[in-house]
Amino acid sequence: MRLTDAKPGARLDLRSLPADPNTEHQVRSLGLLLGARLLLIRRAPFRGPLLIEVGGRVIALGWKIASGLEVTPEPSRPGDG
Amino acid sequence: MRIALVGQPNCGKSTLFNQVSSYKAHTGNFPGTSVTYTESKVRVQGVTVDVVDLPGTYTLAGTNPAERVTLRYLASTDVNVIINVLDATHLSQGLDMTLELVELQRPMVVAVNLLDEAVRLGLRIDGPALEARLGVPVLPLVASKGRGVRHLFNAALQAGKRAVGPTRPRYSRDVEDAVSSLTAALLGTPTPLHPEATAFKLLEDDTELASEVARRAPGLVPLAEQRRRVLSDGRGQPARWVIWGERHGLAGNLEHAVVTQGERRTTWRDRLDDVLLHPVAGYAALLLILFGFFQVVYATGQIVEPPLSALFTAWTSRLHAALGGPSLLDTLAVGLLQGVAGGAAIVLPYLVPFLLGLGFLEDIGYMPRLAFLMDALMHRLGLHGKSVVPFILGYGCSVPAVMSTRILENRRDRFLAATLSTLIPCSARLVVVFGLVAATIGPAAAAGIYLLNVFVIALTGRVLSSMLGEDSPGLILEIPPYRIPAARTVLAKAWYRVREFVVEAWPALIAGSAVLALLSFFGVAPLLNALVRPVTWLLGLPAATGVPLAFGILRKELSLVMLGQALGTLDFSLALTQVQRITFAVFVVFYVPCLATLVVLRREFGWRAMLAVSAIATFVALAVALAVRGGLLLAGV
Repeated sequence: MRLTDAKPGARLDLRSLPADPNTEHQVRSLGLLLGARLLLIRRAPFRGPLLIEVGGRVIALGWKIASGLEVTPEPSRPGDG
Repeated sequence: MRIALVGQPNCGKSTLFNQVSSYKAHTGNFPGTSVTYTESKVRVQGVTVDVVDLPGTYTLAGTNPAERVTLRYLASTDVNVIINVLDATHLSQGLDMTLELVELQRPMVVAVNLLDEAVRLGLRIDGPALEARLGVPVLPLVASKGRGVRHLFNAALQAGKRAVGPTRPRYSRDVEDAVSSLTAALLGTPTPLHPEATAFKLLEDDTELASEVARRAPGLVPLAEQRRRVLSDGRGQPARWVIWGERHGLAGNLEHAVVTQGERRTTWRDRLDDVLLHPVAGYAALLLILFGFFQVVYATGQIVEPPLSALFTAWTSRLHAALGGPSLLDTLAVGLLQGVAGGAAIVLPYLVPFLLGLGFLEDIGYMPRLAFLMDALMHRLGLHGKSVVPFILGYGCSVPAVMSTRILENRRDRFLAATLSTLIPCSARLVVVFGLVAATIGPAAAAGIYLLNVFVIALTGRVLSSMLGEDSPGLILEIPPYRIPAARTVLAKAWYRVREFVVEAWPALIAGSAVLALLSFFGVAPLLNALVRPVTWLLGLPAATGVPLAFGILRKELSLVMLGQALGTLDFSLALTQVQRITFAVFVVFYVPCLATLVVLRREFGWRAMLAVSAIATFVALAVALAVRGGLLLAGV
């Protein structure tokens, strides 16, 4: 699914990077690498940006960029309930 | 000796710089770019060294102007030591760039900053272990409190004297093979970076560096291409991803070895975003914060401005008396004095508190949150959240607003944000709206003009954005944790910005004021009125309003002062109808920005862009003023 389809609080694995090379580089330099584990913290209303946490860093991603990112829910670990 | 401060955004690099820099520190642009650096002389153990604060970058990959100039600057022989400032709370990502810097093999010292925050987060960092693994001195730092600053610079000085670079980390076999074959081929060719660092950058596909190397050794380009292909075929991903991935892995291993996570203490800072970024409460808080901010700026200005204005008025009459009545000399001297007064009594009383408040909001970490909240709205204008900063600055003064567009990534966004920010009524235009409309018709009419302004800017943004094509790529912004601002940093930042106004805009204001005085002395007013008549006729204004409108280009507040002179009364309700007053104010709000703004527009974007902004502003001003006039007349006002 796309990052914009996820719900706040969801823990996700990043499965794709932006197609535009410059955008790709920008998100990579903030630690958004393929397979990165991220937490969707909150979303702004009216197709506003999404706030995610990756590697201890909080990043705001515009809707357009976020909608181009494929994610999968992180497999639940034993003890996660 | 020259020491360069390098680090990622929000690592506290500039806080460190402001702890050691003097008031003489100067800000400059890298040649041919809008990327800025700040430089200051600092005494370390009796030696005077140059300290340069380079722009914050996440990598040295050369994909944006800041990364390119940082790499280029570090490659220059002028830099004797690199101080790499790391954010202790995000060590892994910072270490990515540390390893890149180590690869340059230049003398270097690492400062682990924000240790107090790391402790709060329960992080323990083993400095000696990091030092042993990196092979460069590692020092603890709490830059905001000045802790560790002296030791850091002493260590940097020693590193500069030793002039020995560190040994770079080892990569996988295939990467090392590619690096060594390129390094061997580079032997004998002068390269901007260490030959191995050049080999890395060629494998990472740094096109600018590649073209520079190609000029000196054309044979290397096909070799680099071949080595990249071998590497990417072997790994199934582009060569640059291979190197970035390995470097990230090495940084992760380093972090793993030196950082231990203890118990985390939750504080007010962790809870604050639940309110300030909340879909409803966040916007209410935003309005409150901005209202409070403007209220403080306005109140401070109101305290300082009247005595200063009175002082300058007294000086003007004394000057008149001393020079013995109307003469060319008297006119010129008074014109110059009024220019000085405009800067000192009208601009600075609002600009200084505005910049202090802005610095406070920036350093506490609110600006990125504002960008987050405003992103959706800004997209309606074809921009993204970060461009809200020039818009807010625009209510103070268009000059810093245009300058602040440098924070945006591409030229299209910068131009669009600059154009729209010049349409925002600055504090000088506020004087016109309040003096002409609020004072004679009522505050509601003035508020109406501000609302209309927002609507027109939104509409202009939509139209320009669709004309400029290609939508803005969107917001990618780190939201740093809240931090208590250091007074010294806030003061230093405000000082650099005030100095920009004093050096660049104020002289234009003084010169403009002198020219204006001379023109009125030589009686050029009727000629100007005739020249501007087509506009004043179209807007249904008396011919005498031509000169005030024309001179408003020099200084916006002049429009009001001169309107009084031109009409022979300061009671505008006697000389102009309600519709005329509103039409005049609306036109002044939108048309060509003042001379100082035009100067900055030319410097930032060039002549053509400056003329384009002027043309857009004039067109918008005419269209809106005509529409307002028509609307009011139809409504029977």
